[in-house]
Amino acid sequence: MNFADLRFWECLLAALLVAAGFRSAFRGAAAVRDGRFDRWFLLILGLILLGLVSWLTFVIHLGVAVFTFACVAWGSRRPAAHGRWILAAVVPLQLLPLLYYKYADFLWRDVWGGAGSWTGTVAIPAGISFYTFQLVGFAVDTLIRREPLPRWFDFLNFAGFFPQIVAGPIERREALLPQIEGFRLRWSAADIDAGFRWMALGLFFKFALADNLAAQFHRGPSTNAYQIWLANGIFGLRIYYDFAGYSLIAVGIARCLGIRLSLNFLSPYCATGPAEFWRRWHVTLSQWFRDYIYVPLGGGRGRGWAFNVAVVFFVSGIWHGAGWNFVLWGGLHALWLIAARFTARVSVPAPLGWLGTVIIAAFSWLFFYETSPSVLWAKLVTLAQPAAYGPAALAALKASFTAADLVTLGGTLGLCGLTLLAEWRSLSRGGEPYSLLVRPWVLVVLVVLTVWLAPGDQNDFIYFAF
Amino acid sequence: MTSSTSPSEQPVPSRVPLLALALLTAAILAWVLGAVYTLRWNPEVRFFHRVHEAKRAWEAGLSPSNRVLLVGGSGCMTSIDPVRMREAHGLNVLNLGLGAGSGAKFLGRYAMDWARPGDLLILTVEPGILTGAIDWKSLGVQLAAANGTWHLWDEPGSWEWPSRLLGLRPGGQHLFTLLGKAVLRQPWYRYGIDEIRPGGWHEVAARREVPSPGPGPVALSPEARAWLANLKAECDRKGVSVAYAIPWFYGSEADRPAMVEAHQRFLADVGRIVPILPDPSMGVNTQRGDYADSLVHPTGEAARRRTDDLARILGDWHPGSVPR
Repeated sequence: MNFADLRFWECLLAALLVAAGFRSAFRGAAAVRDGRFDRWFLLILGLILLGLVSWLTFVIHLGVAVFTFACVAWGSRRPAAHGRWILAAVVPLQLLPLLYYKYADFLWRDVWGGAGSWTGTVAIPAGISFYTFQLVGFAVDTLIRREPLPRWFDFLNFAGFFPQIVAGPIERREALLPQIEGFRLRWSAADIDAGFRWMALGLFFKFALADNLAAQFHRGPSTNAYQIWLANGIFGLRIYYDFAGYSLIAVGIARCLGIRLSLNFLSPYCATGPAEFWRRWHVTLSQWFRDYIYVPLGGGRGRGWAFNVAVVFFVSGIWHGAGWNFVLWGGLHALWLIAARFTARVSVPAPLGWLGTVIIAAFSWLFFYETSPSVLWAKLVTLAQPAAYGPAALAALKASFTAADLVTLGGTLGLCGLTLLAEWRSLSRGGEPYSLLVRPWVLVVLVVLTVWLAPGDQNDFIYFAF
Repeated sequence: MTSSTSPSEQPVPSRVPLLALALLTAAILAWVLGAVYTLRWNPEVRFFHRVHEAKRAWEAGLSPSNRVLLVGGSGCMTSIDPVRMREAHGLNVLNLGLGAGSGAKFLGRYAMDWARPGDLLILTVEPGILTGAIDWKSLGVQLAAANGTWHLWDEPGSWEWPSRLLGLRPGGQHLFTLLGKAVLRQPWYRYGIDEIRPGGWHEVAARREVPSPGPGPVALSPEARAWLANLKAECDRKGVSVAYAIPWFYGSEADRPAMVEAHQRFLADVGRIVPILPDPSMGVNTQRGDYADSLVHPTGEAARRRTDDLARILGDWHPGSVPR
């Protein structure tokens, strides 16, 4: 669901009004009284919104969901001891569409050395990386942990809950399924207020911060070290505010409907080390990796812990994109975590830890956004040369901006700085992340800033590409 | 796991979601203020609105038949003097050039709003805005509203008014730039109303060093191709002749061959849809002194020469079709 597209909001509002009218007109009907109407409404709305994204997205999602349910329903009737064998057959098949649409060309061209394309110009079906992982988690939880099988339409609602299907949060069955099973379309001022808080903050992150940063972000060849560092910093802030913005809007919409989703970001740029950074960045994906890969491999115990970390970050890298640069990005984070664990006994002052975390994270973003190996290598060489940091390079960086761009960039970075400061204050007071930013008067200011600062030209959410 | 529960723990005493209503009210009020600012005080919109009014006044004095309409971005607006076209060459020209930042979609609809059966429409849209997505830009939305031509927002087969209305906001780049200008005590806009000449020709007063841009885009985007084909079809239905003329760019001697080659390829692409006005310069001028403050903004003197060149090209191209 593209929350940056006004048509999404128009469809949602129209659907809610129709549903409210129907409920009011047929309030005595059994299906309305026992909640079946509400759950059917949620299912149909989700499928319609998915269909509006693209037919391929709709068909692939439905295919993966129906296949998962059929396999899990069959598997749950087999003896518990067979669960692992059934999973060993089912999970690769669940992953097959993801492998085909996202990785076939990479494997064929970059790994195998073939020519041409397998998938042609077909775009990756929206949300496939997210709902595939959620459904793999569902299959594991149901077959291994012997959780009861839900009703099929509750499962479809769980698999296709529209606020989070395209870009997460990736929810565990125990967190989302019970809420879906008890879903009622009802008016709750408390939920609506709470939902609006998250939506307002998410919209500010996306439109006022991320989209203005996007206009100032330029990739491509550069032999100016300052320019590369600036691009890394801008990209790091942009991807955070873009993705956190999306996640908060998803949380807010769900909350207005009475469903509580997990927060996907917990002020990651306030972290003072890599482990903390990953506990705060894309939380639900990190937890998925922890629960379904890291812990089954043996986790942090034993001699193989470094290998387990490396495996997790290899998969994390390749999950984010089909390219060697993503593998390197994952590898860099694995090395960082392993190094941090080896040096855990060395006491580092928190400000220094924070600075190191921010610098290493910013450096690693270069591997994330620079998909051309030759350009990536040239930039790494530039960053390693002391001569590339001279005053001439600094002057060239300044000259590369128009006055208007420079002022806009300065203003946007200043706003990002204030936002990060508010996040840090929220955490340092022992509060929840973003607790200062979701105060009513702060939100009013953020709403006004969002309306005034959002650039007119639309930018899609970055994580749609994953 | 931290969940979305935290901010909702505060009790809400009524069944009315007061915070949600307050935030919606703040958003609506901010939008209203933003729209009023955009339509009344935004210096860029005000400038282009005055240019539009000058064009309207000029049109009123034009002969209703045998008109040549030129449409494009600021390159068109600053290059062609319609008064000179009439007085020196006897051509009945309406210069519809506005900012390229308003986007091809707006410029096309703007031109078709002026076009009458029998007119000749010359597109001198900058190639750069025909190589990507052809969608509504904020400036185009704002100009349509500021000029009172709200009907330009209408899209056949779709209802886009809500998203157009949302375009009536200043935006980050505009507000931050304004703030920067206030701090540095610079003029609010780089061009003055007094630079607008009769007929809507903009004689640029500002001077700035203009670097050579190197070869530009070489092919129309699929969206631009569709946009151009639709515009051609609309012209055919309306009885309007249409052609394309490449704008007049600055390019250094060193860059000239590559720029000419790029323009040739671009024109070959465009020429499959609409006729091309033959221009011996291929849209490249190597005289740096002819340019005021950007690579498509000539000085007043250079604009007069460009006006004369275009008049000759129009006469040579198809003397029978050029109204006099």
